[in-house]
Amino acid sequence: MITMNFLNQTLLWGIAAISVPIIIHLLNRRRFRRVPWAAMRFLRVSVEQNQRRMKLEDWILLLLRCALVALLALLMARPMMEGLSGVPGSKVAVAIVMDNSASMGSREGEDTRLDLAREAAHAVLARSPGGSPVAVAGAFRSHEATNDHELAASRIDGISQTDRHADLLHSLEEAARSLGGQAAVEKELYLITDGHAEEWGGFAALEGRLRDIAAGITIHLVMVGSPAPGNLGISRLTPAATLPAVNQPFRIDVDVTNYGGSPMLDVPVRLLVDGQPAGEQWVIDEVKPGRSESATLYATLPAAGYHRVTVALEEDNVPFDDRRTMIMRARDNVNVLLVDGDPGAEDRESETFFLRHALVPVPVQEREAYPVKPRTVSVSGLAGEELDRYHAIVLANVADVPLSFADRLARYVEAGGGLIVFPGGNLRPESYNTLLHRKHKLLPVSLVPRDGSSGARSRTAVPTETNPLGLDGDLLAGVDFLQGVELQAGELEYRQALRYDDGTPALVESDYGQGKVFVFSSTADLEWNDFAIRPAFVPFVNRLLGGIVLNRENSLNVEAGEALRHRLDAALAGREATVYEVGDPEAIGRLTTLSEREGSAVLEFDHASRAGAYQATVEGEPTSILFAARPSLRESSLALLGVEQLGRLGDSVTVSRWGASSGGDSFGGDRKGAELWWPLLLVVIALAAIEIVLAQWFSRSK
Amino acid sequence: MDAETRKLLDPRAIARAEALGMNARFIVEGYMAGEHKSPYRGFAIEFAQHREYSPGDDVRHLDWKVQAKTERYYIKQYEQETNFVAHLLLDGSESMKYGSGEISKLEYGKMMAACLSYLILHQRDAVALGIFDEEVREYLPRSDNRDNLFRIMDRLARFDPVGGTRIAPVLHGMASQIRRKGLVIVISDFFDDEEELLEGIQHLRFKGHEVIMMQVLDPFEIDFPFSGMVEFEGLEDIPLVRTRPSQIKKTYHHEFEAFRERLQLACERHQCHFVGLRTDQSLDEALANYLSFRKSTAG
Repeated sequence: MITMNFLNQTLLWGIAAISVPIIIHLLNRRRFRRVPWAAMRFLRVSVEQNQRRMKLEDWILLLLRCALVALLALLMARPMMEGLSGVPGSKVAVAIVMDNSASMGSREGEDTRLDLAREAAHAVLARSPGGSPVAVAGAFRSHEATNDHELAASRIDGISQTDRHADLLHSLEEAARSLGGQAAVEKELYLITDGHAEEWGGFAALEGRLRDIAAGITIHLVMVGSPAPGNLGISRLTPAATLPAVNQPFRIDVDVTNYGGSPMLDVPVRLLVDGQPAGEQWVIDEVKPGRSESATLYATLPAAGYHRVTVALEEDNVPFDDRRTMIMRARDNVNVLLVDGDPGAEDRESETFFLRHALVPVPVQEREAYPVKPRTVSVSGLAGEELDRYHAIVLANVADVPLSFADRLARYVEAGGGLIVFPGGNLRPESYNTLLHRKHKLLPVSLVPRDGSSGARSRTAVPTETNPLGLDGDLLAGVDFLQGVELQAGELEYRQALRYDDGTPALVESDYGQGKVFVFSSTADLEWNDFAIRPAFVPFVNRLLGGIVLNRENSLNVEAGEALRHRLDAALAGREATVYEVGDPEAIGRLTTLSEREGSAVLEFDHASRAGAYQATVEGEPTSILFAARPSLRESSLALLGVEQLGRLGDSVTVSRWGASSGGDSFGGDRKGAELWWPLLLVVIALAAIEIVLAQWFSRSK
Repeated sequence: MDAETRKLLDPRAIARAEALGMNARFIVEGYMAGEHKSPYRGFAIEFAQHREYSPGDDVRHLDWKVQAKTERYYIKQYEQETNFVAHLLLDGSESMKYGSGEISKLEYGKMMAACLSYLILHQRDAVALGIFDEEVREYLPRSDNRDNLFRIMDRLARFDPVGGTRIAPVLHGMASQIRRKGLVIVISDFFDDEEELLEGIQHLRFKGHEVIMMQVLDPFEIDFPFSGMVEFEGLEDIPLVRTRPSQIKKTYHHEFEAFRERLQLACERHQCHFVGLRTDQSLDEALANYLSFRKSTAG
């Protein structure tokens, strides 16, 4: 059935402009010059003879002009016939969304899926009528629609591969929204994707949302690529929470997951530091389908500063997750302030004696070269200390927290410092709870003295399931905890790192601004436990410190597509930084300006869409800042939309598979509407020509 | 002679006319000598009448006998006049006020009348002048006194048109009043009822007068060169006409030319001479045209 409609209905008001020629006609009749005249009899006879003809001519011209104006208004309103095709000049509004998520980097022979998507997009463009507005978008970024198809083609070529996870439904909605603003007989939305199931969210919700999007828009789902035979990917890369020091080997835990359906045997895992192979590769004997296996690698950072630590598998057809990089900073100097609340009569009796030795677990002659530099002060000596020069502050059995110190401490931790609290017999919980828990919310828990009777029972501590510090449960099993304070949860968030065998928390951690806080429930000396003389104590203390120091580098490691926010010295605020992708000689640097926020300069960068290392050079600064993006884990799975799922999309979506043989013949083949502007324009031109000729003809002498 | 009067006497026109050898006196005297065929045959020996003296008349021509009897002053006209009397009738209606350029039809007609008067008086012939619209508004009886020229000029200069046109009653009136055959020259645009006009001419011709019809037209009336929307305002209380002249130009030309042709044909039919004049035409050309005609009719 053929029905007529208008694409710019508002412009139909332009028909009211037919009053213009009428007004001009009437005004012209009022505009005359008066001439005294003698030969009136001849004039009157002439007028009488021509009166009817002149009136008729006036009416014809007036009607022609009114029709011309009305047709022009109709033309601007862009009339269209639904159900009619084959009218020349009909345009369609086209939106092409190319999935450029990580999975589109999968290899299909010589090409990637994104290469195939580009071919399909060019085919769509080639089948769009000339002058039709075409909007080209990637999964994460869209362009304004353009009538210039050469520009659209260059935009298609400019859609680059990312290692990000895409929410394609969101991309579809964005594209549909932009199409909604277009005036065209037909609106076509082409989503070119590999049909990676992870990118479609909950499928039940998807069907309904697609129906909403498809209102007035024809959605074409163009599938490219074929299912990958298998995929091994790095699913975890975690440095052990030890302090990365110069030339001190530290452990890196790696998980390798088999996303395919076949077992993978003898999987080598390599480590690279700053792009150079480091240590020996780890070979995993077998990774079963759907399972993960761990590898442990040891890296040594050759010099102080930031380093790229990369773990790599042999590249397979899904390459983006075969390599992962993180930035680590090797330090040659880690300052720790130990606040001793019970110095004792001699050194061995001091509250911090075991802590000092645990922090520097090397012979005396090597202490100078060892990066950790502890300094012990009493509470009274705190006033003269400049807190910002310390990486961590340990409060060991400090009775009361001075009011002024509590304020300084909160500011220090918020700016990125670390705080470790060890209780003891001197500690008065009320002071901590009032100032550090309730006032500054620095401690995530309140400290409650334990009942004496229950405190007499010996307890052991075990790592929690997450075990963020990577503590060895076996080593901890031999430690007797006789007494402690109860870490009582409040409204603040925290994570348990250790718990007692009765389930109560032994060690909690929380983030505070840019810093980190650890609260232990027992002493750092032998007063309430024998932890300090057990083998587990040294790694425990070092991992606490490592957790604090590594926390500072966390902001340098983001997921691809996630915005980087890294704090720098406040003096750098306002300077420009140039960011390059490391290892890509053709990468074009992007400029960003360091903003000022909460007393620091912040490097912000939200264009890290490829996994790997990036280098930011700040204007006037000799050393660069390294940061890394990791690929999205959700893209590693091989699950594609199945036939059954695609079938459920129903009539709202036309599904086709792109292949060299199909050539995109079906694109635009079902267009069922036509714009009438072209024939209408011909009529307008014809009427204008007739009007000109008639006006000349009528105005000649008669 | 004031400025208005000077303006009416175009010395170039008169000089040019004389130079062309078109001598009115020669034509009239030619008749007297029997050398030429003339409409005034036997006229000179019959005429004798008295006319009341009017200022400017030569006192030598006073008839003292009549004065002795009646104590009134009469002029013995037979003693002074020639056989040639020209009656100049100038249309002074409002339609003659029209002029697209510097000069209106009336002004052109006044100059024409003035020049003719001068020529005729210069040849010692007599001239009578009548200015009319619907009736005769000004009249100066015939006189051959050159001093009378001043009065003719003065009347012409002073006249201002006020009324519409009705030529026929004037012509009938003149035909009845003029007792001696003569030359009647009517200067007008002749925008009047054609039948009545021709009846008037017929009447004059019946009385034996020779009639010359000088039609004075403005070039715009002939060419009708208007464009755009124009409201034409009739000069003789005719209602306004608003039109686009370009769209009726041909019809107007057709009507106008048909009128002139009818007028010329009627003149031919009644053996009177028709002279078409345009106000952008130099006056000497018009005079030459007239005198050429006179010569041809005399010959």
